[in-house]
Amino acid sequence: MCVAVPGRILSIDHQPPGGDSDGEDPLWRIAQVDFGGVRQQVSLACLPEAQVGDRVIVHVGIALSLVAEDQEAETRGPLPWAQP
Amino acid sequence: MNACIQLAHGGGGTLMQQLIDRELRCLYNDPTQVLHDAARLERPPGLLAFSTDSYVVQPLEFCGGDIGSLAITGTANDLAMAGARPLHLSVALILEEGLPLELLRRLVASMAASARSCGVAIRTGDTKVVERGKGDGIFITTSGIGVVEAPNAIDPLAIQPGDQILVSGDLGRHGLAIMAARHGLDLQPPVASDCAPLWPLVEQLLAAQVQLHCLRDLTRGGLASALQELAQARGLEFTVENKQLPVLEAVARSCELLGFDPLHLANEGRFVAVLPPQHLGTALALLAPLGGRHIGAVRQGPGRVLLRTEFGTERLLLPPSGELLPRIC
Amino acid sequence: MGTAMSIAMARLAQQLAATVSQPWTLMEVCGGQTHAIVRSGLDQLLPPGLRLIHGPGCPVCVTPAATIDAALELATRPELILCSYGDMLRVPGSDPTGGNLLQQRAAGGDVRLLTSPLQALAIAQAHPQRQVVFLAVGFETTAPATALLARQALGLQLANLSLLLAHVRVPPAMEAIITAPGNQVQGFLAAGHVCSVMGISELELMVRQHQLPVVVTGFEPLELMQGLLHCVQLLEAGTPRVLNAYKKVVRDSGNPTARALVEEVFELAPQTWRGLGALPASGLALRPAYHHLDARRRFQLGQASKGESDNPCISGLILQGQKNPVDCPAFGKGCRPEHPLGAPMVSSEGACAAYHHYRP
Repeated sequence: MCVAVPGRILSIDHQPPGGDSDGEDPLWRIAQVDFGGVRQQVSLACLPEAQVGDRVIVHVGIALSLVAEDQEAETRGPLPWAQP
Repeated sequence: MNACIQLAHGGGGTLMQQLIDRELRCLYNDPTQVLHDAARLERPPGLLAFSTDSYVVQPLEFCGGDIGSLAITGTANDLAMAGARPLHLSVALILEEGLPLELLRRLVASMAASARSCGVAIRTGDTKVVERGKGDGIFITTSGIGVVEAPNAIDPLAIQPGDQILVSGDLGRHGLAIMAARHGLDLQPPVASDCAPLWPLVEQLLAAQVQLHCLRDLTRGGLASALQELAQARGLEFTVENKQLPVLEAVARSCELLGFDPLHLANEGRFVAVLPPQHLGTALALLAPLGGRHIGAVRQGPGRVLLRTEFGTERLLLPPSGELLPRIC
Repeated sequence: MGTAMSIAMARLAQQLAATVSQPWTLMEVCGGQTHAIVRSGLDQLLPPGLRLIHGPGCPVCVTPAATIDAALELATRPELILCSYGDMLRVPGSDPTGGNLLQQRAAGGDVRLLTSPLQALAIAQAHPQRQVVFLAVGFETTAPATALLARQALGLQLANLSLLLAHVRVPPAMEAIITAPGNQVQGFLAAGHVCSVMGISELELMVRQHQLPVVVTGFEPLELMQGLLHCVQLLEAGTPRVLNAYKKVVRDSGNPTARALVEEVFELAPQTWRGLGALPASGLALRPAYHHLDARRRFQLGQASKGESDNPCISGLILQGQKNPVDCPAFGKGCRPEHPLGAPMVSSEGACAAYHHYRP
């Protein structure tokens, strides 16, 4: 029931509103994720173990799960259309 | 110095004359010509084609184009789809009070450039101004006259069972460029609108004596809408092969992310051609180097469009119902 | 000449046909699975005797009409910004002629389309003088995002943001289907992304209790077909269990961080499902520390539904898989995406919409 697509983490940042002097609250940890040509800012609040280079499944702007690399290609496969 | 459009600019007085002289004359081939209520045109031999369209796109500027380039190219392309060489255009502008003059200048320059690349001349125009809040910045209506060069009528009714369907290039770039601008999508590299003149391709097909039963440019509603209109108008069944449809990866991935279908996204520089099978090879030889593909065929059956999936199953291809909205489910 | 994908699919279809020795009825729970199946025409590849019926996993479809009515009313208030996912904008309320959020926007309501709940935070911060209400719907996949929004709003002590909640849980719906008199479902395809958060323990409990197989799948056509094969294999062998066939995304333990966030903000509550009625412990309610973020409390919205008794929409029967969209007399006639009688025709995951869009 959920459009959740995999993307790769390009960079990770910490964006607490108005400065956070109590160290890095994971609630405000965000990543720049590349979904194959389109990039979005994604919250890592639910995935504290995620690192740059990881592939993650993202739903409504939140990373929910790491995608196991070795099993990536099997069923996802190429896009159904022709490459121009 | 006022940097915005004021109501007085549409009032018919000095300010309006200044606006025309300073900002709009460059639309005309001869900026010094005296502007009358009507333009007088030489009447070419043969059939004329006549088309009109209004442009209300938001945002006004986007990657690869703006409302100006769309307004000129769109109407020129409608003429090309009738097998007509576009010749003359009229440009009617409705400006909203408060529209920045700098923006207007950019749009006008864009229209002039598009007119040159479409090979059309803007012959006449009109300008009105509406109160702030009563217009979306700018609305543009263009009407165009062209001379028909196709030897046979290009019309959905000319489509026959056995005809082949081609598309001239990849799908959805314009729609995605608009969505990206509207919703602040970060596309790397950016996806530019595919807005482009179509007459040069049609001219080549005609010159190679390709018999064209029907042409339809893909605009709002994408490939799905264009094919549905033709299939329903003619009362024949169209089948297309999903794996033959050209879609740029960035367009496909963005669609996945937002829940769009690339076959529903608008295009502004693509068309479908429906032609008899014996002309398929020639047509494809001309269109393929620019991204064109043979995507399907026409057969007896109810007026609808079927898509054959990569798994060999067939399902309906319907146009989108209503505005395309990003979704989460 | 086939592509690798079509060859792989043909092989799976063959294996499925070879495995089936008697009729089976399966249900795919998630609307996204339904759409993927119908869009790819997978139902045309199933062997005779293998019946697939469509489940209630469409959060748009099951959001109570009363919640839509409340959102529509809030959107008429000029001081208020109503934020919603795009999916909800065309859903009718109790009165199918009473308009939707998109029409409310056209009539001047400040209705904003969001692709993430976190955008509501930015809107609230940008408009401190105005009330911002977020229509928070969805299953367990979406709840963590709403919970995060609530936690961040609490941390910022935002006074002008509130949530109009209608979050729902999958297991009570599956339970309701299994225990309904006349239930024919013998096995389930479970929603992979819900399980990426929840893991498989709730499903294991259900399987122990009811002895039917549940296979967790992804949403690609090959993954779905593979899932169907696994499910049939379990049925043929008489070995009901939970099989996680989406291991590349779903850990059996799910995402504990996401669950902790949800548990901090929400507690289980009874919830009315549009078309299905009230199911116990099937929804989420804000815990006391977050009550100030509840739009119903803040705006004193009534709970009473106007009722949909005059509406011929049979969405309840569709969502339970007891009727097929084409069984509905209004399908394609009085009920079309442009003028839907209920949610399943307008939701991008609704079974009625899937049939209307894709079934020749």
